[in-house]
Amino acid sequence: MDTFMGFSVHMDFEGQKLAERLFQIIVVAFGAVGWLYGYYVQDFFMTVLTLGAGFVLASLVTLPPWPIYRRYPLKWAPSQDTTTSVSNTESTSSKKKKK
Amino acid sequence: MHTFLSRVNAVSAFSLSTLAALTFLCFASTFLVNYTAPVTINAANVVLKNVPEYAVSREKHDLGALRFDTTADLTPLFNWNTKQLFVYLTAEYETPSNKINQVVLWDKIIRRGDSSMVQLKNQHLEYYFWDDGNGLLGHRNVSLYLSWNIIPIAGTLPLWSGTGSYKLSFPSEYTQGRSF
Repeated sequence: MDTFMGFSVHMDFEGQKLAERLFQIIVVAFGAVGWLYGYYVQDFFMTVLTLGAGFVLASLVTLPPWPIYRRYPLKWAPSQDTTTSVSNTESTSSKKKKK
Repeated sequence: MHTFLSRVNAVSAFSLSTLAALTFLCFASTFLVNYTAPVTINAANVVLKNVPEYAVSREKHDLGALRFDTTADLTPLFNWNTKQLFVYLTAEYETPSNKINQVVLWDKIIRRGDSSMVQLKNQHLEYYFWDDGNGLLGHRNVSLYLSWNIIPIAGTLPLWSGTGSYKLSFPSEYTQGRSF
């Protein structure tokens, strides 16, 4: 799970938020600049090319799970020993701990 | 967003939506552009025959023929939302049976990057100048117009005409024989 061609690719929640924000900014910025440039040279293909460059850059920045997207790993509750957690008192105390 | 493929999906979907928005803005930026251009048209060697139009019936219909000159600089029509132009020459006239007759006599496609000067000398007609009856005999008020259809990259498909026309008159007698 969470692997692509053998590599671990997951991002933590903060990283996903950052990646989404980043590719939105990059694509829209390249699109806006490309639109203005295309209007200036009167060639819409230039706009498409610039947007394509933005897409490539956004892909490079946000597709691989760079370390910047893994700075807030989830703190999972410690795994419990299944044999000892059968008794009632144990399970209630663990629920209190989670809260 | 947590797996590689879901990020591929998100980035490409967002880029395509952005492209759609930019394309619409490109259309919006050219929506109010005036696509007329000055045109000069001249015609000569006007010939009129009365021959059977077998495509319709065996009755004899009027068939006109002429040579024409046209000069038009269509460079200003090419902006960033123009893919190609469909330029066509029409003859427009009124007959007792029809209020408006329009016959396309010649056309040309000018693609983006082609030479956008239309300069024709002594050009013969590309299509037959058929009337649907005998309305051309002695007609003194047949107008030639050059019009164009602007095929855009995105948006509407407007029809515009050039400013400038030529008024031609047909002879009052039919030409006999094969003298075109």
